[in-house]
Amino acid sequence: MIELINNIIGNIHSSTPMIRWLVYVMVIVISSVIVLSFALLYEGFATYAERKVAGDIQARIGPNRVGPYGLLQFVADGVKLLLKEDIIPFYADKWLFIIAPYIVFTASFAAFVPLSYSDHVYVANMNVGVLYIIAVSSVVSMAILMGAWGSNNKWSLFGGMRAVAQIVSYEIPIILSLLAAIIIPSSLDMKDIILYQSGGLGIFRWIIFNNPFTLLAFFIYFTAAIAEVNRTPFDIPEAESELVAGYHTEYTGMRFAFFFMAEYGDMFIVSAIAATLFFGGWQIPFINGVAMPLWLRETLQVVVFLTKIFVLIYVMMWIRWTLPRLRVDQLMELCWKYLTPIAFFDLIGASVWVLLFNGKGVYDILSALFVH
Amino acid sequence: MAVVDERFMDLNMGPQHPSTHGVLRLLIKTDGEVVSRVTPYIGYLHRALEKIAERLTYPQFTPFTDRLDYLASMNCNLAYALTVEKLLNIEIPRRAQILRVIMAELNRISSHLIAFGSLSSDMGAFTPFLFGIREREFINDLFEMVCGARLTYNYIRIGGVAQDIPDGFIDKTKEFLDYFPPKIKEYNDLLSYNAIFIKRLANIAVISPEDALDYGVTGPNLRASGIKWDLRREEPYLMYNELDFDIPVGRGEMGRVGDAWDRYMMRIYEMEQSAKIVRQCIDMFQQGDHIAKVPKVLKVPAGEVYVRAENPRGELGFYLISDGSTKPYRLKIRAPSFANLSIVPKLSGGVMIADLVAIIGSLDIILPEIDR
Amino acid sequence: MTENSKGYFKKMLDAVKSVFTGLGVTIGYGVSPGREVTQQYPEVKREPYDRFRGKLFVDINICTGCTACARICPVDAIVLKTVRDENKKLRPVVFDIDNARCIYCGLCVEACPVDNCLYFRKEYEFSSYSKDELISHFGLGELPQPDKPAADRPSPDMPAQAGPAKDQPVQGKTDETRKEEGK
Repeated sequence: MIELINNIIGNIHSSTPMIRWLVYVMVIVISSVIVLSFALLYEGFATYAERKVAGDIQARIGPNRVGPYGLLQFVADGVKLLLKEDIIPFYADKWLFIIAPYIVFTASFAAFVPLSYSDHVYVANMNVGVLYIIAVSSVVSMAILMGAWGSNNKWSLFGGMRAVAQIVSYEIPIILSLLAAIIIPSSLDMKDIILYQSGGLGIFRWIIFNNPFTLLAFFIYFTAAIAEVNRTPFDIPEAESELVAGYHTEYTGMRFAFFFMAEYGDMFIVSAIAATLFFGGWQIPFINGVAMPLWLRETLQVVVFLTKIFVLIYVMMWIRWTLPRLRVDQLMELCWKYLTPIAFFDLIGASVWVLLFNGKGVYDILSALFVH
Repeated sequence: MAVVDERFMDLNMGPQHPSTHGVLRLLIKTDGEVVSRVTPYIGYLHRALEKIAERLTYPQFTPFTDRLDYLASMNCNLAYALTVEKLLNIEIPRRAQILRVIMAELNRISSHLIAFGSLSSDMGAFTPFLFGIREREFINDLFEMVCGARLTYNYIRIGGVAQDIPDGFIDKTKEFLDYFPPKIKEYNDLLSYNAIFIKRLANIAVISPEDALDYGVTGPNLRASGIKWDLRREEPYLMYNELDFDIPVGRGEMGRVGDAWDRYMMRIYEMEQSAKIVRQCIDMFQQGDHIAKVPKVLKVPAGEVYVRAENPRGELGFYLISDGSTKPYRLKIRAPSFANLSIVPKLSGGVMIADLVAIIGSLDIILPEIDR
Repeated sequence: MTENSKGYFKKMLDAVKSVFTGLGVTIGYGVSPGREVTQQYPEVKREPYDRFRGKLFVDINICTGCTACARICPVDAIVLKTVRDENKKLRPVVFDIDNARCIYCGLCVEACPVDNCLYFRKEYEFSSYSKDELISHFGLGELPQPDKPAADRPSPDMPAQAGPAKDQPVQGKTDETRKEEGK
């Protein structure tokens, strides 16, 4: 798909700059529409999945009214939210209040861009993909604070302050643990990282199995990532039993939906990073895809990639419906006294491993031993 | 004009707030997340029950006691019935006594299940709440079988109980007693010994034995402070002196004696003990009347009496003055939650907002009883 | 390794272990279907137990007009007006039960001296758009004019009071009529 567009662009290189620009703009618009519809569709089903998982865990049935198995529930919810009265509190800072949800959503949506869904399906292949995602998604904290401050509500403000403190703090263990993974393929390019993990039956060369330090790094990353997307047990910015609804207390209708969708978008992004960096991205386990026709291989790769992401999202939901919430100071304690130092030593350990074994993973070393 | 202290922010928690357990309003002075002073404002549920008692006949007031502590209606019925019976000086048939104890203890379990569930949802874990509700439904079914209502039972009457038990009740109760203990283990695995939960509750809001006595804290909250005081043992009413049960006291398993975790755990232990009591009562069953001979027009001899009984939330006392007519001259209700709430301002100096939620949840107050 | 650092790691391990214990409980519910305890209400309706205190009904034909129920009612939900008919028997011309005031305590049912006169039905779905609809009218209506024959008396099926048709009292208490009425 993207290949095709690239081909078109390649063919018109000879044409006038005017037409070339037109095509570029078209490509940008079309690809963003595709990604946006994918993101919205995913977010719809994620909300459905969340409620269904919650229902399963709590010995309930969950949504089952709209469509088969309640699958169209998110459509009904979306329509409901669209039709709701849009309330802007009288004493709110209107500009901040209005603009905040869009920034949150844009930041979360922008992070979909550098993901590599399969060998040829991606929007943009950035050589700094991982860095880009981390940079873009940290904008969220600013937007949350804007919304919280703009609401002119004390509970919102509490939520916003908590959110910023939390997101900024937890970026450190996230980046440190990601570094431990990144130094193995020594690239920030999503595609390079995935290509590095090919071979070994499509499983054993995953970076998570590369060495003990990357294994630990994954758990640190995943814990910190849950905090980054404000989910239980780290959902203190929303903390419905303490702060009513946290930073989006005053939001209604579609503006609220944007915050809501951004949360699920962020879940997808952090899971996608984990799948890419630790679980081999779109590498198909056990099946050698080389002999397959291109379309089949690409489809399989997309399916495999999405499956990995959804498994991680399921784990996040599972954790959410199991654990109580930490207190704000305990959350900081976990970050600064546990995750950050451990991630730091983990990074050192991973670096030493790379130095000692010349970047080879456990699987490489063992297979080399047995071959000789 | 009042001087505004700018270091502190006034924050209204309630009357509509997810974790004030009803319509309680707490005016909090906060310095950021830290609470410096809490003032509870009560009365939103005031229905003048004590005044209503003066214009109703003695049997007519029984349904109103259902509405004191609606989660433990049986126990409230019981305490009221005991009060009037003491002035009447009548003998309660043995079968009625056994039935009363069974109902009171089953209701204690169902009330503690709500305490357990609501504290867990205050702490951010929603699943245990629904698990608690699930087991409570079983007890509600039992009560519906006996008296036809699922919340406001009006079953324990002056002189005995309203109706004898229907066929199949004993079997269903035995079924419940077999079904329930494994669920307690599930609660413990899921919540009680969860590290986050312990971290949220241990060493929080410690009530020293002296404070507990000074403030008139009763029930599980008093026992959590290490004072072995249970009216079922100290001033045995009905047939509690023939029953074999333990009175759990706080031992400071996870922190100091009398902390929020101890208060929470008292309820888990008491549920086990109550199940044990019900089992013994079923073995002790004997044929007989379910209600003593009480005249249709009930005239209570003139006099004053104070009777207290061990409710799930503490000592429920009725101070009754009778002038010899069919209606009470004055009925004063000593509600346990009222005294338990009074210690909140003392406990909440210097805690965080999230702890305040834990304090209210662990004290397990109920508003209709406080406001009356 | 100092005591402190040992505590650091032990605390961490304990925490991780307890988290996984909790996750073990929930995944048991998450993966095995059929452990739902909830019911799909409008489709599946649970049958209340026999003693269920639902909507109050009066078999007005056997009512003796003793007003015991109205007197015991703690919330004055029952309005009962009786007159003497030609046989000097008390006749409940007005018997209104306000279901919005009723607290379903059951004192009236116990006070009623006639068997099966005032009783609870298992009906529990009677929400309505107005409070007036919540008042059940059971009264026999005012006495007939002296010149009219007795057969022209308003029958219990068509009470004189303007009331919603669904609150008609039931004649016998056979199962068929209950089924028809109890919706």
